[in-house]
Amino acid sequence: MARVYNWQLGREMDYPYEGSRPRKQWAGVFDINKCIACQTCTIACKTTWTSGPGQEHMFWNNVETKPYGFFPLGYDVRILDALGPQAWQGETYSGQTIFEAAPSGERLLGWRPEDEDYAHPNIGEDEIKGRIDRGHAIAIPHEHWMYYLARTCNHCTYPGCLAACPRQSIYKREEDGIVLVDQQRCRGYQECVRGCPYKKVFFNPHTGVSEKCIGCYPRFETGEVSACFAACIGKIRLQGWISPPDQAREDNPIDYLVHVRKLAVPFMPQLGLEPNLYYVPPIHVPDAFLVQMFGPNAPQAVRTYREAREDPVLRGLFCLFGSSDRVLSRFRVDGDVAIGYGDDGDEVIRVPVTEPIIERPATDRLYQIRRVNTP
Amino acid sequence: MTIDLVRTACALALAASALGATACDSRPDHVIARRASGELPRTDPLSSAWDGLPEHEAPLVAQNVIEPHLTEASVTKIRVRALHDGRWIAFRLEWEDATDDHNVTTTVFSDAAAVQLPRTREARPTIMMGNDGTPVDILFFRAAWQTADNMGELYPNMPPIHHPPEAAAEGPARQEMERHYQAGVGAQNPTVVRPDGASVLAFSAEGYGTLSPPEGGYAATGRGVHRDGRWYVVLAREIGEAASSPVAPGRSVVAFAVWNGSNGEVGSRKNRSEWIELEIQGGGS
Repeated sequence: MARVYNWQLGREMDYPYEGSRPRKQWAGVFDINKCIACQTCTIACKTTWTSGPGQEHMFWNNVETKPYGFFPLGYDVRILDALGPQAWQGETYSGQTIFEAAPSGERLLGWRPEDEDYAHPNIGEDEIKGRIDRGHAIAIPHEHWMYYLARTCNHCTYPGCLAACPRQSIYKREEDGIVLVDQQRCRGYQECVRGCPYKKVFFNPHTGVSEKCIGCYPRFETGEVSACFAACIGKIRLQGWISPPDQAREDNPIDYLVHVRKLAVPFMPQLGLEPNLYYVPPIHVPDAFLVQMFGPNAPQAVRTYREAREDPVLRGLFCLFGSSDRVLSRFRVDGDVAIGYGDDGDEVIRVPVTEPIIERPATDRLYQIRRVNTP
Repeated sequence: MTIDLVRTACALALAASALGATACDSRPDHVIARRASGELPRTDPLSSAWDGLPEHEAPLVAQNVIEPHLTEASVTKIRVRALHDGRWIAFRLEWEDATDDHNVTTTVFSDAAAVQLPRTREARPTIMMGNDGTPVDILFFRAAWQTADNMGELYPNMPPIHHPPEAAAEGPARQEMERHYQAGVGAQNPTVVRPDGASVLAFSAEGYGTLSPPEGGYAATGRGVHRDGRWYVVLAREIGEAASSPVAPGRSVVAFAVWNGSNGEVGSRKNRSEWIELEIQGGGS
């Protein structure tokens, strides 16, 4: 095992390979509080990439309802349970990662789902944390909570799938950090299915090899966002590049949200993979659950989010979520306008931070008629 | 007197062997390939041509050098017979396995077996699939590869689903669509695009994790039959250029590996032998 630095843990950790960050890293931020679980992202991905034989059970993108929704069944609670206590000392993780907790003879701590675990991709949909008894519904804040969690492959800096593959059939692209299964090299051993704690590598029983989210690299290479990002009707998603914290740029929208404002946090960072999808955490969830799911910075991220409306830069940046099919690598907020720039520095999108309000009198004096709102 | 007793015991054991009982003392301590008197049973592990041939019994151990390990061997011995006809050589492997695992899900893998040979007769690569500059040739059998309709067997109640390639007419148009919609096919993965649905494939390797189609290639074939809790599998390959071939008449080495799919065995999680002496006889059997 080599020693690599994982900034999400605030420390070095064991990993089977030497640390080597890509030149640029594919990343995204999801504002969970805006997600309505319409599954448009899921279907956008499904129809684009996984409509072939043997892919029936695959959802490279899925949206589940927390706390009781999973795909595949119990994927997160299974690994969290196996890993044991996960303690943080401030922003430093003092527990074990899945690499450090590897049993003897294994490269990491992993498990394989049963076939049936893939059978109900939207199990637990809309279920809340507990039963609504008399009075619960009218108490504010609500005692019971739920939230939607949209997920794709995290294109991790230290991928579990890549670490687990004994054939090195999985690789991380130098140019964008996207993690791919080499479809020519794969022999279907499913060590990657076992090793990915997010269970985002899938075995294709028709071809006998494993497949996973490809980050829509054919789109990404041309500066377009991934299909699931482009299709999001709730505009909860922002795609771009993330830098290591010591190279963070204030004008990079992802860096700004993750590193500068610490408003977007990774999913289960304690597992040690340094995942590259970041979440604006749900605001109604108890801190203990937030910390377990999104790390020690999640409660503070919620507080920052609650005040974002009063913050001109954050307010402007949130207006750029879902505003364009192009990848935004730079942004600025100029008064009441948020502007996004592409990789080549050209302006890609310009949106008003406050939508103009136009008052239309109930009576049109020119035509002498009353206006009627027709929905 | 002691020697005479042993001889008598061996003779009795040989007689018992002919009646179907086991007799370890009668087994050769290495693998012997005789020259076939008739047609080589390249795809028939139960052919009568295998009867009465010398049978080597090789102990197997759990592969626990390369991670991930198999912690405990599930198949501890394998019986090997071999025949050749001057152009091809065939190994008939037999081992105990209560279940016939020929479909792959996320929890059950395919039963499988492999025969490993050095690239040349004199070479002695490491047992762990060879090493840099000293390759091995590997014949690889997977039960799943000889199953005609894995998906239909696994999911008999799956409703009919219209997959996009089915929109194209049979022939080149559909093949083109299948390349697009099945990445393993599009990438020409040798375990996916198998010649005539072969159940035994030819590979080479230069160290663990490097199993690849052999440069220049050599023809391979075979077949497995699961009967009464045992696998009988024949793996056959072309002998090739006699001057250097490890399977031309003469002496070389061979190694074997077996996977029990329902025990989660796949890839490096396998039962393996050590290198075993291989004697390929030139005369008739």
